[in-house]
Amino acid sequence: MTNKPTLTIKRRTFVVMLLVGLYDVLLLGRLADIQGLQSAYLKKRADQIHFRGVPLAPFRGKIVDRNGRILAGSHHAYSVYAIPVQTRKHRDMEAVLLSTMLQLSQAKVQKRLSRRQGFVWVKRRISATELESVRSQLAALPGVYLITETARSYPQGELAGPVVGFTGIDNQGLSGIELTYDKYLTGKPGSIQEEYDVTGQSVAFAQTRVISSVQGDTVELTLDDHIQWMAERACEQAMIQTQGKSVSIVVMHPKTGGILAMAQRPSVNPNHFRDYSPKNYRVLSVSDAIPPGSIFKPVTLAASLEEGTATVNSQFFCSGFKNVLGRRVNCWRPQGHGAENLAMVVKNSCNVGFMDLGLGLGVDNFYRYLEKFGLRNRTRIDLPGEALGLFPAMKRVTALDLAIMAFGQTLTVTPIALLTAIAAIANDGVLLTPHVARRILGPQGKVIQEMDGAVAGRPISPEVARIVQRMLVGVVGEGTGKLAQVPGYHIAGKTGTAQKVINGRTEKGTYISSFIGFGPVPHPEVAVIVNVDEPVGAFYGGQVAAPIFGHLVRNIFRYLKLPPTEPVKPPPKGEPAMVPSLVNLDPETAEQDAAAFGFPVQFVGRGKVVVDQSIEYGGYRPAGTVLHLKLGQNTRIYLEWVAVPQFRGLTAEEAAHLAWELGINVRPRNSGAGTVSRQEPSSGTEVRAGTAVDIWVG
Amino acid sequence: MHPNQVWKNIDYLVLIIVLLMSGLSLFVIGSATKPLLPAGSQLYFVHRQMVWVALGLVTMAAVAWLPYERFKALSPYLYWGAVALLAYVLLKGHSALGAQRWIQVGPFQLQPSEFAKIALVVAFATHLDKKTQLNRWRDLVSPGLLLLLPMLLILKQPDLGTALVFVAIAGGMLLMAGASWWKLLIVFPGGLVAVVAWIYLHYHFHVWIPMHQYQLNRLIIFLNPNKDPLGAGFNVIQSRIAVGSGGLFGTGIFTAHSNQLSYLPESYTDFIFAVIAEEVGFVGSMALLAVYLLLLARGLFIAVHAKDRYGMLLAAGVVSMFAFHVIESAGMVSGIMPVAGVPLPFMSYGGSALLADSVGVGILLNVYLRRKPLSYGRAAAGTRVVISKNT
Repeated sequence: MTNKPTLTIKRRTFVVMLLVGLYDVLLLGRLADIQGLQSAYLKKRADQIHFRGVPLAPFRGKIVDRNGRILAGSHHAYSVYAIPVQTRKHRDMEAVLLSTMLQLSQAKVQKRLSRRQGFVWVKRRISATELESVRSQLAALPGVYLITETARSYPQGELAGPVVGFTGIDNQGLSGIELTYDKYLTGKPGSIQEEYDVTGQSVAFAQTRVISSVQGDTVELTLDDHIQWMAERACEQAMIQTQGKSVSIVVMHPKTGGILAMAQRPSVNPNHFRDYSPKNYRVLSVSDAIPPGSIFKPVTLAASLEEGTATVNSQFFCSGFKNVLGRRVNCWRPQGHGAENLAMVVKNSCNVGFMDLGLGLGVDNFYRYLEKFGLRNRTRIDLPGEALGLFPAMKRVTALDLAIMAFGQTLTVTPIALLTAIAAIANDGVLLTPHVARRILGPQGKVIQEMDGAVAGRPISPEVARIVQRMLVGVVGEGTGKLAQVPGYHIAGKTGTAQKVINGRTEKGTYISSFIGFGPVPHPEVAVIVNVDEPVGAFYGGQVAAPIFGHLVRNIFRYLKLPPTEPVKPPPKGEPAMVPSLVNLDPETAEQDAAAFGFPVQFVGRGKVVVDQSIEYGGYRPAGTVLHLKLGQNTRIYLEWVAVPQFRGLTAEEAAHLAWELGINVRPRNSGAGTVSRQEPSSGTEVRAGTAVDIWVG
Repeated sequence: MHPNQVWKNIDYLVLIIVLLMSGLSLFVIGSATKPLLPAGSQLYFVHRQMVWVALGLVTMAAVAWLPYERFKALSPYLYWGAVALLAYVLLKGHSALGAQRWIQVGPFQLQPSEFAKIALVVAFATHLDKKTQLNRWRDLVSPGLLLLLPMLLILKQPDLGTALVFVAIAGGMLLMAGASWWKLLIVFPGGLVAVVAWIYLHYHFHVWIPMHQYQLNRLIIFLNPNKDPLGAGFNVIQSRIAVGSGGLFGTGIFTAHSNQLSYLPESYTDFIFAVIAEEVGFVGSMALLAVYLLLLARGLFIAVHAKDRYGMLLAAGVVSMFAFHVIESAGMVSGIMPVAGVPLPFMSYGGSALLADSVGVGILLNVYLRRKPLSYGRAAAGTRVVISKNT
């Protein structure tokens, strides 16, 4: 009789308990691992497996100009959907409500709400009035929801169309800024997700959830919609007057490299880009390298002065031509310019003088300055498809090539690259990177990225830059660029008339008339290039492009409220004076401008703007001749289609002004006070210019 | 035994645990079977299980009532009856899921292997009660034969899980019967090591193995379920995802997505722990495991305090059975045990298993009812004599 067996049993019981306990600890560890540490991951896995989603397109970021004016926006397209199980209790009542609000048959709504699905559309892309009624009734509609879908619209239509670009069917950027900054604009897609069972069937009790999309960032451009507006108008008028193949204008802010305006004809309205030839999609100033002609000369000039191969005191003689390597190269003035100093060579745009400058520089120096001015490389402007200028291979360049290149033939540059180089002269020798986007703004307006003022080089000293500026002022003051004058300011500029190169040969009789310049000197606010491709009739840059420049810059200065630096001296009566362009100005401004050029005016008709003038601008008439100006209700002539803006929140007066700027009208339907509460058609709707939008105030 | 004595001496702890879990199981089964059933008859399995629970309680009472010494006489009938049924099921049984396990009895299908577990417990207890000398190798021959006969029949079905339950029962009872420590170590853990080695040799040296490739794959896939995520590894991955989705506090009862979307196979039987873990989370499943641990501990307590060796062995067998079920069922779902389906006692849906479990608890209650008195007076000394007789 002993206790041993009991002891054995107890001991073994203990061991068994211990083993089971140890196993439980192991199990606890494992469950803690799966349900604790890995839980989040496994939940995600579960969702990935269980949920299948309908992607929700994100709200694409806005493209706005520097004043915040929307150039590209996404308008809300609202749709109504339902989660049927959640409508179970009041389905009949909801069907009645929805069918009346959305103009659907009651049976149809009832059927949709009864589907054994996690998610059903009730109606997609509802109208503004439908939206308002659904929204007000939403509380009484359990299980019924509104969802925002998005579509791109360009409220300013053709304004800066090729620059802004457009998007494809999936809201992806296809051209222009839309393409360059696509990754910022795109945003994050969300989804409507529904659970499915293991066999892929939707089940009645499935959960549905909506992961909202994240709006894309806003791209704020350096463009100023007013200046862009002026440049567009200048292009339009130039096309009509010159009958050219194309016109392009770029306005740059020389202190930052920001593009203030970039206009062209032909152009594209991004709202209807499919109606245009793909050729129109290109930004001409960026995608086409063209022979610059004489507007290139400031580069040769600046290089010579910087290198010291010429000074302000250098003397030249032009007999109308120069023999280089046995070839006779003509000056544009067959009879020659005779003896000239450097300033006169520039004023006269004398090719012989510039050939001497080029030959004086030598090939190495010439190419070095091309490099320094950024002309041998792309400017890296933030627009797609930038072309690279063409230059003869340096090793094979002959003296003849060099002489001709010195006045802007044999080589090609893009207008943007040349404008950037000239802006460096305006900016006291500092070369900047041109850009169209100024900032990228996050959801709450937080600045994500800034692009202004990226320095690309210092090709010349400030002293040389100022000398060149002064000589270019002479071109506009007394030389070939007189028609670019802006009363009250010193303008620097250079005319150009390039022979087009077609299939490697310069083509007689086809020209690119151009003007490049900046002002007001000595503190330039704008640098502008104007190119008119194959103008019919007059083709010299000084005749064709300079007045376009002058008129545009005059308008820009007025808009910028730049105080005049020089006294305005109208020419004495009877002396020949240039007729300015007064179209599209309001009567008061038109009268002031005309007076500055020496012409009194007389108005014909009634209206807010000048729609026509009795004497074409650019011509000469004795000062004191009376100009007859026709007044009218003209709006912006270049807009064919306008996307209706959001008037809600504006006063009737503000709404009317906004509409007028866009080229549409508002028609108040009541006489309430306060702000606009309702409008028809809703914002984002495309209407033809001149259409009246009904508004309700109060 | 007078009814008053029964009410005084019954083990309320075990009873409460069993009633609590049976009640809970109805909710869990209801949740697990919801997606399988058409609307309107969603309580089909719950209703059936309620019948089984009722039957189980009656059986439990009956088993507890009959003095367990009488089991000795029943033992051969139980054992050979079970063997006969297992043989019958192999010949004429109803097959499902690639195995022949069921025989049709009226509207129900019975699974003889479940009852065979009880038969084995009783047979082993009866055999070991008499066999007190267990220290020599040859002493293990007769218990071994007793185990192998029904076990091989079950392996032939094939039903690996239940076969392993037999091994656990035999091992547990031999341990408690006082068999040599190290010999048991060689036979049981040693056998496990041998099987693992065999499988290893099969994979690396193509040594022959008496298993189909798919069975083997199912057995070892838990080590790396992503090898075959849509085949053998599907269950393992889906149950791990379900368990993980439960997180700390669970998704709430009736809301487990993996289960509700039918991603969990066998969710209401062998994989029911995954549904529980998803719906009540880490905290809930830990609580459930604690209750099981309590049941096992109480079972061992009953074994230790049995009035004789026979009662001790019966209780130990039942505890071994429950222990293996819990270990395998929870371990498989958590991915630390190979997939060899066994039901979770009192939780999984299934009549045979529930009846077998009820009989098991009935035995525990029976042994406890007739335990040795707690007072260490003369009567206690007398019972000790009974035990010492066995040395």
